[in-house]
Amino acid sequence: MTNTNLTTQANPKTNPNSQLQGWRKFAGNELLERLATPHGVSQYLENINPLWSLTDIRAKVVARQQETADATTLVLKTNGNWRGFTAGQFVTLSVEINGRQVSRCYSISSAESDERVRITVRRKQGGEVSNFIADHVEIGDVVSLSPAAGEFVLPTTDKPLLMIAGGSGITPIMSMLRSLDWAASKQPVTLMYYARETATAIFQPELEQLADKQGRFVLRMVNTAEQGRYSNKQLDKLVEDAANYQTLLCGPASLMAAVEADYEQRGLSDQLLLERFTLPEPRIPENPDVVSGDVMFSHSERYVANSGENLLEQAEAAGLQPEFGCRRGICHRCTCTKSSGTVRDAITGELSATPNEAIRLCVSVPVGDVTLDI
Amino acid sequence: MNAQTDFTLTNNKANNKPIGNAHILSSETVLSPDAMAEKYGMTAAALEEFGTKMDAIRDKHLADRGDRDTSYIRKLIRVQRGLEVAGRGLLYASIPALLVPPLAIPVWAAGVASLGLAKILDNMEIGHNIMHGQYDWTGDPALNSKTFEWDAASPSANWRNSHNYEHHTYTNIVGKDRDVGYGTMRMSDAQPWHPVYLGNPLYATLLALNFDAGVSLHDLEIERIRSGELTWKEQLPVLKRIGQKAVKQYGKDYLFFPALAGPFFLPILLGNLVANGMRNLWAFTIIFCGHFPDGVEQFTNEAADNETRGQWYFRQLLGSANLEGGKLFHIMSGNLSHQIEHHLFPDVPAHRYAEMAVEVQAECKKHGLPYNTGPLHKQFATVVGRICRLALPNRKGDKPNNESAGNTLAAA
Repeated sequence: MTNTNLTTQANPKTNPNSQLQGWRKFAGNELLERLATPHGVSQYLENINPLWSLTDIRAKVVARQQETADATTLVLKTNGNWRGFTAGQFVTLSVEINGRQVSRCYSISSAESDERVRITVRRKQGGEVSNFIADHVEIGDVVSLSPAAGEFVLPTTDKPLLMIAGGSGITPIMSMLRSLDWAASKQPVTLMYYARETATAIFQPELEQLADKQGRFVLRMVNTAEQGRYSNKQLDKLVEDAANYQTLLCGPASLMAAVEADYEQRGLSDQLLLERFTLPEPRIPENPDVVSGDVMFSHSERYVANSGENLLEQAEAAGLQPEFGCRRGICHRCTCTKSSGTVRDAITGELSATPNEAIRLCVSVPVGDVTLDI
Repeated sequence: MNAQTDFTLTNNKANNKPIGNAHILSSETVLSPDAMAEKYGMTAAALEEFGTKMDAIRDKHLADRGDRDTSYIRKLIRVQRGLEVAGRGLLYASIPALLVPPLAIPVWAAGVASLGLAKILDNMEIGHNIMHGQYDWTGDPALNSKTFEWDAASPSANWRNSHNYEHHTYTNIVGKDRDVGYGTMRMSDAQPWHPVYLGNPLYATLLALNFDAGVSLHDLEIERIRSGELTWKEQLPVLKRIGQKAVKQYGKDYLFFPALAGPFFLPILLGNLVANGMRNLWAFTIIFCGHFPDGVEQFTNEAADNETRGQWYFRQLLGSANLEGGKLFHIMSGNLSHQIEHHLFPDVPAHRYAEMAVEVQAECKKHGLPYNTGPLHKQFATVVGRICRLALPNRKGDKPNNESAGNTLAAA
């Protein structure tokens, strides 16, 4: 079983392919950079147009499509720093909400060959970014993207493909279906698509059209309200001889768990490629006064039980030597990135669960599990 | 909440050594925190209440941060970049203007002024404030305190240590806050007099003219190397960063940009020199008005030990002085004209200090605490007075008082 994980965020800012292309190659030359020190050429260009960045992938929203009542597709025109993607991959999308950059991972839903990158986002209850995209992102807005990442891509195999999607888990699979060269082979493709009501199923009309047009594509819509959730029997009923298939799975946690367990029982785990699609929403533990959880220092690969002290003390106790100064929240020298988890500000008592947030170690006390990028 | 205990410096293992403590005397003006509290009639309870009020002002503004702050700083960056590009453009435009000689000089001067203003904005309202972490919460890498680099000789990594940590933590503690005298001048009567300080006004003038280089070298802590507290080897990374930044910074202003003008190398070089000088004089003037006007208090060495939040706010308030002026003046001074608010709330976006000042002043009035403010010419005149007065030995009335000197040395 191959398990790719959306929760491991791609670095939103650095482009691994630092090779500049086109006019950017000229703009980023050594002499101009020397003249533009210390800010760099890119900063001057970005002041005129954020899309002219030499370093960051930025994209302009050129269209919005309402897929269903609660799902919106952003059609993005990327700048010259975008290096493409493989169908099934995701990007970290950053938008600015009330002056603050907030990032989330989203799978790309467009075809590899599409000139525009499409991201389809379903509104989540309480989801800061998904609601912002649904309500506030307008045509002409500029967003930031990370390079595409993720291992959830079409496997090279002659076996027939079985795709199992649930809810917004359809997005990477839609990208695959749109990218497939349907004329090139006879490899059969079956999609089992789980939805609470078929009216809320994203891309359903396009999928039906595809099924009508392509003889080797079979669409099995599963309405969970009528047909029930995934089960061993249901799979056998809808797909003949599932053992012959290479399976790709992406959907909500409950669906993923049911399919994984079933495949394990069938001894087919090595034919299952899956994407953990549901990002855990930042959550504040129920009882923040109880010392609990672990502190993970991801960069130095150390792991300690939360002692209840501030993170600077805990890092030092774990043998790390983070930079520090005043040790009381004034100087910001110990600022580092908290990848995930909740911390309490020792001065204000405020709790913060925002992922990828800059925190001062000396006045941050972990509440439950916390991961730091040091 | 355990705010008080989290705030003390008792857990500071590595950095509780005072600087050159053996040379610090006490005096009637430089007091311990207790003596200072007594002088202003602040009981422990009153200090605590003052601290709670200051915390409330801070929390209110931190919670309110948003689009307004991000838009403000970005707008300022756009203006700064515009002035910079225009300034450099005008410097080059003064070359063809030589065909009509009376035109060349005003064009050149306009270029210098524009570039000088750009450098002032870059260093003060933009750089200084971003490097304090005032915009870290935006998540924008261009506004991040750890990665921002300013258009000045001092490398930001060194500056964040000497300024954000040492100066803002140990503000006006003579012997610990190295901004008191910058290691070369006598800015407190608790620094024992030596004939070398007869040069105080000269050193101040040289520092003012070369302020960015001075700030850069300040981070080397040469006086601590001389006294044996630090070794050259320990300071090697600092020195290396200074060298690398200097090559880039001076290479840009004094080599690459002038070289683009070919035979007109010198006028361009001169333009950069004057623009940098303009920034240096302005920055020096504003910054020295922050902590050295008359009425600003200085503290003895033990001030930061086991200090409560209230005591810390109290020290920041007494150790800083404001400048009065209009909105443009505050922007051009990087809002260091609100030095008191900056020291009380160093990581709150500085454009809010004007609003916070009203709230702080009201609290000061309630507690009968002084709020040191005045127009630039008045405040600066008292700074010049201090620089000249301290060039000479303390007069009789200012002589170190044996009893409190004993206390200071014992504490150190």
